[in-house]
Amino acid sequence: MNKQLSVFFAENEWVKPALGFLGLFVLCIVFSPVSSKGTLIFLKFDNLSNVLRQVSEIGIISVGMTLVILTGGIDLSVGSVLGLSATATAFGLMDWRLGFFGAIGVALALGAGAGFVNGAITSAGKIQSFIVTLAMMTGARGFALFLSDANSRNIGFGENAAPESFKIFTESFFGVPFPVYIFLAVAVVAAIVLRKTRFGRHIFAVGGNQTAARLSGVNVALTRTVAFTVAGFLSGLAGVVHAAQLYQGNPNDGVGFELDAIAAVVVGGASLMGGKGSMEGTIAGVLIIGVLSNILGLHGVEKDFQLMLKGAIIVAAVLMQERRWSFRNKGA
Amino acid sequence: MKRFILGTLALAGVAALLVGCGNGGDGTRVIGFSQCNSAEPWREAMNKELEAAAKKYDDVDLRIVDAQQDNSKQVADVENFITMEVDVLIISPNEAKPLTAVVERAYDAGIPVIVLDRKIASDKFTTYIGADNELIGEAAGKYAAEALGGKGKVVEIWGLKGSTPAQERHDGFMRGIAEYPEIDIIYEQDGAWLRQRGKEIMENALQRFEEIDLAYGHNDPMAFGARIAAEEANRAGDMIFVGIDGLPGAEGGAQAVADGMLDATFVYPTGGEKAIEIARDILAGKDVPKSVTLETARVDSTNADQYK
Repeated sequence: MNKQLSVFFAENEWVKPALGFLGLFVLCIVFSPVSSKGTLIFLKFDNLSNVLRQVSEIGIISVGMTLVILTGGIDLSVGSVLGLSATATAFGLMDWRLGFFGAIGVALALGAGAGFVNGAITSAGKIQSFIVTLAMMTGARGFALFLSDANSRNIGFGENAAPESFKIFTESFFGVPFPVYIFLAVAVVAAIVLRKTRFGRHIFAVGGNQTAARLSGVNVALTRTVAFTVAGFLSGLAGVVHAAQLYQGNPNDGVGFELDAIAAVVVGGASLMGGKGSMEGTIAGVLIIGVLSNILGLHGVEKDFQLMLKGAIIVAAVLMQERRWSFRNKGA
Repeated sequence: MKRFILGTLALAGVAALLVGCGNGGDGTRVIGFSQCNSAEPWREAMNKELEAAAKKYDDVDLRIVDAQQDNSKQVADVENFITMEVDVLIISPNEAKPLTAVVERAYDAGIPVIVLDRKIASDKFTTYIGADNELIGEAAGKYAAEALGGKGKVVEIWGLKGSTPAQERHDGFMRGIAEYPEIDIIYEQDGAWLRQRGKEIMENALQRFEEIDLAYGHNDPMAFGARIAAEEANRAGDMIFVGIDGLPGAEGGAQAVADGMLDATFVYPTGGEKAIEIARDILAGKDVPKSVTLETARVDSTNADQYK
């Protein structure tokens, strides 16, 4: 029985983070502040949809980060690429007059381009992705500052300004903000691709054992490059969402987002060594961090304490993942 | 041959630099300004104000160098100014401690030094020009008390906690509302000067509290973020939004007031114009005060157009 359970946990890495999320969710309900009318504020529909919207940017980035980490790589440039894409979105709409699709297209292309460069240099130059994406992190930030002349650009609507259609990113459908649908769609598609397609299996193969993957006919360089390109594209997409949420493209935005995304992926059960992890786990990781920030924020907990608690949660989550459950060894 | 050409070019370059660095022989006085980080909008505004003020005088040659938030680069920048023997050094130090020694060296070398905005850890300078964040916070507090009619619930969005301006803008605000016990700060969080954090904090506050009368941001971007959050929750209606900084330009707080996004903001002056004025006084041999405190100004719907 215990053995079956531990095999189940080992084969379904996403279960532990998902259980972790459910546990935290219950805790949040128990400790929710109560409004004057006696309702639980945490459980209010508006609040939950706020949480989802607040995590949607990091969530979209984390999906791409998961692909890269599964191949055994890392992408430190996602935050800078988000800043670059948000800047391009705002300038595309306001200054370059590209229209809705033009501006978003440029932003996404910049993101995918940065990701492709990351992947191509990592694969072709056989350089560690840590170094390559560190360089991209610096370079993309510089390019964003160059494009914008180090200025932020506000997005306004109306005559000679952004088209009304861009407001779709701030609208809600059935009470749920549009960015949440984007995040969910990206996550679902990525989860299916990882589980059901050949590309998904190749990602795990490359991260699990590169040599074995190559010998069994997997194109390692191509798989890696595609993973990085997708990660870059998704950072670009998150940048568009970011610009829309703040009605502004700021070349200095997105600093530290890479660390939030890596934290979410790791809390979600992925191993930085590659080959181990899941999209479902990452989504649970994103939600854990989002819900935690929300409940602490609702209680007005000071930032110092919030940061310490988040650090502790990350360590605890990873310990939970790595440790074999002790009852397994004792029972036998 | 190639080497010869390169060598000649290099020599020519050095010569050009040397000529460029000399103090203009025709009585032009060189003012060197060492800026700690031109990438911040407020410091960009400071540069522009200095340039505009310097342009008014034919006999002033203003040179601005940007340390890009790097202490060691700023030390090198000031050393260059000392080598060039500028007539006046203006510096807005990145951090007090690392820049103190080199500023003292300039002062000891006989160069008059104007310290702008941030201080150094020594009194070896000619004049310090800066605004008083506590007075500005107090002005914001008094405005809040007046706008609320002495009674109401306030959300305060802090600048980076632990930074002096945030603490002073808070202390000043508390002093401004001290006489009104019915003004309650019901929620306060660290927004780290960022528009995004301001918005998130306000979203949480809106969930938590059914009644919020005023949001006070320690800078305009955070107050603006709070406004966006309130609008999205359809609760911006009669809420009051107050910020600080009142920068000019399309992205500045003054424009936000003109657009009705903020009810008021309080100018945190850059001191650029004052610095050029004092520099001219020093060059003319006049006595200048050791310390100059810049006045704030309230920007509201009645006068926002003047500050845009």
